[in-house]
Amino acid sequence: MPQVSGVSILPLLAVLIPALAAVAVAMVSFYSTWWRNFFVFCATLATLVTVICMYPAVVLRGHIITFELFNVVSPLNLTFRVDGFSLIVALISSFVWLAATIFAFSYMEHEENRGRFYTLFLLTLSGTVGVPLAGDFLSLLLFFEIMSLSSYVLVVHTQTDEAYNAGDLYLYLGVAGGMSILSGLALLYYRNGTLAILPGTVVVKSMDIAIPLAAILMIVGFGIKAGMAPLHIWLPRAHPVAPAPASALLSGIMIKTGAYGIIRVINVLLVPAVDAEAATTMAGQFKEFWQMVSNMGYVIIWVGICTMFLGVILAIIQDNIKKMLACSSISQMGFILVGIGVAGYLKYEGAMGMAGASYHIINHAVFKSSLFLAAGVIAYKLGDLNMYNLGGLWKKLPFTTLVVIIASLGIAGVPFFNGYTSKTLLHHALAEAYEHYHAASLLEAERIFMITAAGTVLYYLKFIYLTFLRKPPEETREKIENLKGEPRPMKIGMAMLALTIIFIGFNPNYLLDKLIVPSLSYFVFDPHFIEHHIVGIQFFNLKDISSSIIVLGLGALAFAIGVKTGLFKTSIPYWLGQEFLATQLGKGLVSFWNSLTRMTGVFVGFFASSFNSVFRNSFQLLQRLDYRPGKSDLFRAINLANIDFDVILMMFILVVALVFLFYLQFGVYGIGL
Amino acid sequence: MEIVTNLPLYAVVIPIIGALLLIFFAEKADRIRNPLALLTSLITAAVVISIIKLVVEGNLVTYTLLRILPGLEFSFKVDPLGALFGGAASMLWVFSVLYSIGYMAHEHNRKRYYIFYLISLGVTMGIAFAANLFTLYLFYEMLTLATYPLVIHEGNEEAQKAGVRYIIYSFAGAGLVLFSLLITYGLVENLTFTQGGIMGEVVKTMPLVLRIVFITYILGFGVKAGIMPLHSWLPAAMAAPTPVSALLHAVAVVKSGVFGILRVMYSIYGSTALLELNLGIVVAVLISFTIILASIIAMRQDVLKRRLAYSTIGQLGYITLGAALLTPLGLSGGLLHIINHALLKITLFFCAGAIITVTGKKKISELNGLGKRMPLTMLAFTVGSVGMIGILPVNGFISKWYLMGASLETGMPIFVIILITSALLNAAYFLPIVTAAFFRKGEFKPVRGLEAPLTMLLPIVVLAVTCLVVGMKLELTVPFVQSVVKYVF
Repeated sequence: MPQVSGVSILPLLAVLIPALAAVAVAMVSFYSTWWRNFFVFCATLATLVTVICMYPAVVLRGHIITFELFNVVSPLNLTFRVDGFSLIVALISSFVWLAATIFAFSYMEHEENRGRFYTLFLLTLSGTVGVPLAGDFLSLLLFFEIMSLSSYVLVVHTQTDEAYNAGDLYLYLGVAGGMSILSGLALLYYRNGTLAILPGTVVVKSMDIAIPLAAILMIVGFGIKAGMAPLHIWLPRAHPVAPAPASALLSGIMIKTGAYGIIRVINVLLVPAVDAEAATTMAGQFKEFWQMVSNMGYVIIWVGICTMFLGVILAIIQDNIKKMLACSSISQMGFILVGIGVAGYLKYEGAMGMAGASYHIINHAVFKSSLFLAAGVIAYKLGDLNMYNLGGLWKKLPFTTLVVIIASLGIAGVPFFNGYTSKTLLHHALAEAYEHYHAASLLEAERIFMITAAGTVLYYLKFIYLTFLRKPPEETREKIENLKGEPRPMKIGMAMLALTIIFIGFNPNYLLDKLIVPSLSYFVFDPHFIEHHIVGIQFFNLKDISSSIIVLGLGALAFAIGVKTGLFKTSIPYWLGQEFLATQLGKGLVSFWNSLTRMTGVFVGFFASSFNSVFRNSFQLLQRLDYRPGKSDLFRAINLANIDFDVILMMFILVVALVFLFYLQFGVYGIGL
Repeated sequence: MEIVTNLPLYAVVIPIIGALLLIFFAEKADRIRNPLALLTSLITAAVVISIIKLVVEGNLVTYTLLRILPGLEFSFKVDPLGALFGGAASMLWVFSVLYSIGYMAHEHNRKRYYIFYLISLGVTMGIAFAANLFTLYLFYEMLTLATYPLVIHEGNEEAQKAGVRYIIYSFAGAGLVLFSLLITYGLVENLTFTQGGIMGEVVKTMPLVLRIVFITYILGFGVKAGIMPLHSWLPAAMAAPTPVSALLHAVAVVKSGVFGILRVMYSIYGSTALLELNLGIVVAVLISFTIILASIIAMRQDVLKRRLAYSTIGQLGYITLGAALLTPLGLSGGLLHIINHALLKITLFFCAGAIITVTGKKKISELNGLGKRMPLTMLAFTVGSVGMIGILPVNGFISKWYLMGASLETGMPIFVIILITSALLNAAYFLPIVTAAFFRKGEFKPVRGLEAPLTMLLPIVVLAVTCLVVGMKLELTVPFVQSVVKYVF
C-alpha cells in the first residue's frame, strides 16, 4: 500500500519536552515544590498533547510522519517514523503517564527524594514515548536503553534492601537484554545494510542463517522487557517494590515497549511486501520469508500461552496485592504475545491477531495501571499490602473499591468492560489460527486460553473479596476503622483510567474504527480481510457473550471452592519457586566463577611458593658455604621468587630473540651447533 | 601536499621549555607555577590544533631535525594517524593539569611533579609526531624515564616497588622494540612511516622472519599497551597520584603503546602485507584473551583505581582488536575508541581522585551512599560507566558498533560474542559501584556548597558532558577518523 509521508518535528518534540523538563525539574526541585509539580504536570500534559497532534495526520489523512536528525546518536542518524501503530502505543503511554503523574502528586508526599523521582520519571517518559516513535531499530534501542536505565531509579526508589536486590536483577537483565538486541542489530545491519522500520517494503533483502538468528536475539532482548515466559523472573520482584505510580507505569506501559519491539521484529522487519515489484525481486525467497514468519509466529503463540498460564498460576498464589498484580501482568502479556504470534502465524491473513494484540495493549495499560494506583492508595493509607491482613475497605475507601471493581471487571473480560473486547478479538484470532491449518496443538492452546481467562477471574475475585468485601481480621481492624478517604489528586488519576475502561467497554467499535483498523493498514495484511472481518465486528453477539459467561462461571466456581477449602493459602514448595531456582543458579554461577579465578590463583601461588622454597633451601646451602654467612645481599637481590611469572616470560622471550638474532647472523653455527 | 614547518618541533619543545622554567621557582611558589603549567599545556594544545588543522586540509606536516644515516633520521611527520593521537593527548593534558592543581594542592614535591608532568607532555607529542620508527623509539624510551618520577611520587615502599617494576617492564619492552627495529632496518634500510608499509619485496622473500619480528614488535609495544601476560606493571603503577594514573596510565602511556602497535601494523608492515602474512588473526586472538581476562580480574578488585586499571587493560584490547581486524571499519572502531576511551577513562579516574581527596576512601566497598555527598561526581562516574559498557547515548557505544560491524564483515562473529561478553562483564563491575553509591545506605551526609574543589569538579563535569556530546554528535569524531582510515588504507 503506497503511503504518503510528511516531515514534521512533532515526534522529536514529544521526546524532547519530557527530557528537557527533566533537566528543569532537577534544577527547580531544590527550591520549590510547587514549581516542580507544575513543571512535571505541564511536561506530561504537553507530551500527551503533542502525541495527540499527530493523530489527524497519521490516522485521518493516512500519512506517515517522519523526522531525521543527521549524524546524531547513532551511526545511522536519529530517525523518527510515526505510523498508526506507533501512535497507538505513544498515545496510551502518554495518557496513562498523565494519570499516574496526577496520582503521584499526593502519593509521593510520604516518600523521600521526590526531586530525583520526578526527574527520572520524566526521563523515563521521554524514553518510553521515543520507543514507538523511532524510525529505525538503532534509534529505538537508544530510547529503550534510556527507558531501562532511568526506570531502574524508579524501581529502587525506596532504597530498602528488597528494592535494591530487585533493582539489581532489573538492571542487569535490562543491560543483558539491551546487549542481546544490539548484537541482533549488528548482525542485521551488516548483512542487510539497513535497520529502518518500514512495514510494507522489502527490508530484509537476502535470506540466510543470520536473519533468523538476529530476529531471535532481538526477540529475546525485547522479551526480557516484556516478561516473556522464561525471562519473566525480574518482573514479580521489580514491579512491586517501586512506588505505586511507577509500578503502574512499569506494569502498564513499559513492558508494552517489549511487546512493541517484538511486533516490529516479526510483523514488520521480516514480512516481505506483497506488491508485484517486490514479489519479482524477491523471487524464490518470497515464500521462504513468509514461511519463517509463520514458524516464528507459531513459537510465539506457544510462548505466549505458557506465559499467560504461568502468570495466572503465580498470581493465584500471591498474597501481596502488588505482587499479584505484577504476576497478572505477566499473564496479560501472554495474551498480547498470543495475538502477535497469530498475526505472524497466519501471515497475510493475520490481521485479527494484530488487532487483538493492539487492543489488548491499550486495555491492559488502562486497567493494570488503575489497579496499581488503587493498590497505591492502600499502601499510602495502610502501609500494608498483604491481602490476608486487609478487609472491609469498601466502607472506608468506596472510591478505590469502585475503581478496583471496574478494572477487575475489565481485566476479567466481562461484557461492557474493555477487556472483553480485546479478549474476544484474541479468542477469534486463536480460533482462526486453528481453522486455518487445523493444527491440533492450537486447539489445546485455545483451551488453555480459556482456562487462563477463568483463572484471571478467580484471582481478581479473591483480591476483591479479601481486601474489600469481607470483614477485616481482628489484628488490623482498629487500623482500618480509623481510615479516611482518598486525597483528591489520587481520585482524579484513578477516575481518568476508570472512565476510559467504561467508555471502551460500551463503545468497543469506536476505538477499533478510530485507531486499530487504521493502524492495521500500515502492516502487510490483506485489506479485504480487514474490511470484512474486523471493521464493524459485532462484539455483543450470543456466542462471545456466552463464552465469556462460561469463563466467569468457571472462575467463580473455582473461587467458591478455594474459599471453602482454603486452597489459596497453599503455595508452591520453596524448592520449586523461581526465586529459589534463580538464587541457586546465581550461587552456582558465582561458585563456578570463584573456582575459575581461584584456580589461576592457586596455579600462580604454587609457582611462587615452589620458587620460594627452592630458593630458601639453596640460599641456606650457599650461606653455609659463604665465609660470612647472612651478610651477602647478592643472592637476596636475585631471588627468583620476587619476580613475576610474566617477567620470567619476558626474559625468556628476550633469550629466544637473542638466539634468533645469532641464528640470523651466523646460521646454525651461531648457537653452538 | 607536504608542508615543511617546525610546528611539530614546537609541540615537543614548548612543554619541555615550560618545564625547565619551573625549575627557577621555589617549591612554595604555587601561585606562579600553577598558571605557568596550565599556560604551557594550553599553548601546546593550541600548537597541536593548528597542526591538526593543516592535516585535516589534506597536508602532511614534516620537519627533519637531524640525519644520522640514509633512512635513519630524527624527524617529525604529522599524518592523520599521528594527529589523532597527538590531538587527543594534548587536549586531555589541559584538563588534567587543571585537575592536578586541585589534587596536588596538599601533596609534597609539587615542583618535581609539575616539571616531569610537562616533560611527559612534550615526549608524548614526540611519539605522536615521529616520522619514523627510530624517532618514535627514542621518545618511547624517554617517556619511560620522564614518567618514572611521577610513578614513584609518593616515595613510599609501594611506590618504589611499582617504579622498579615499571622501569623493568618498560625497558624490556623497549628492548624488544629495538631488536625488531634493528632487524627491520637491516632488511629494508628504511624506517619511515609510509602509507601501505615499507616491507615491499621482503614479504615474499622472508615471510618467517617478518612474522617473528612482528610478534616481537607486538610484545615490545604490548608492554605499554597492557597486553595480558605483560600487564602487571599497570595495576601496580596505580600507586601514583590520581592525575598521573589518569593521564599516563589511561591515556598517554598506554595509548602510546597502542599507537606504536598501530604504527607497526599500518605504517611499517601495511595492511596488505599483514593480510598476506596472516598476522591480523594472531593479534586478534591474543587480544581477545586480554579483553575477557582483564574484565574477569577487574571484578575481583576492591580498590577503585585498580579496578579502573584492569578495565583499561580490557578496553585497550578493543583498540588493538579493531586494528587487528585489518578492515577500514575495524580500524575506524579502534581509532574511535582511542578518543572515546580516553575521554571516558579520564573522567572515571578523575572521579576516583575526587573521591579520594574529599573522603579519603579508596575501596569500592566503602563507597555506599556516596551519592549523597558527591552527587555530581557520581553522576559523571555513571556517565563514564555507561559509556564503558557501551550503552547507547554515551560515546563508548559508537566504537563498539564499528568493531562489531568489522568482525561481522570479515566473517568472524566470534569477536562480536567477545565484545558483548566484555560489555556484560563491564556492566557487572561498573554498575555495582554506581548503584551502591546512590542507593545503598551509607553514612555520608550532603554538604552545602561545592562537593569538591572547583579545579577538580570542573574538569570532571566538562569531560562527562563531552562524553555525552561526542556520543550524540558524531560529526565531531567520525569524519576525522574516517579521513585517517582513508589515509592509512
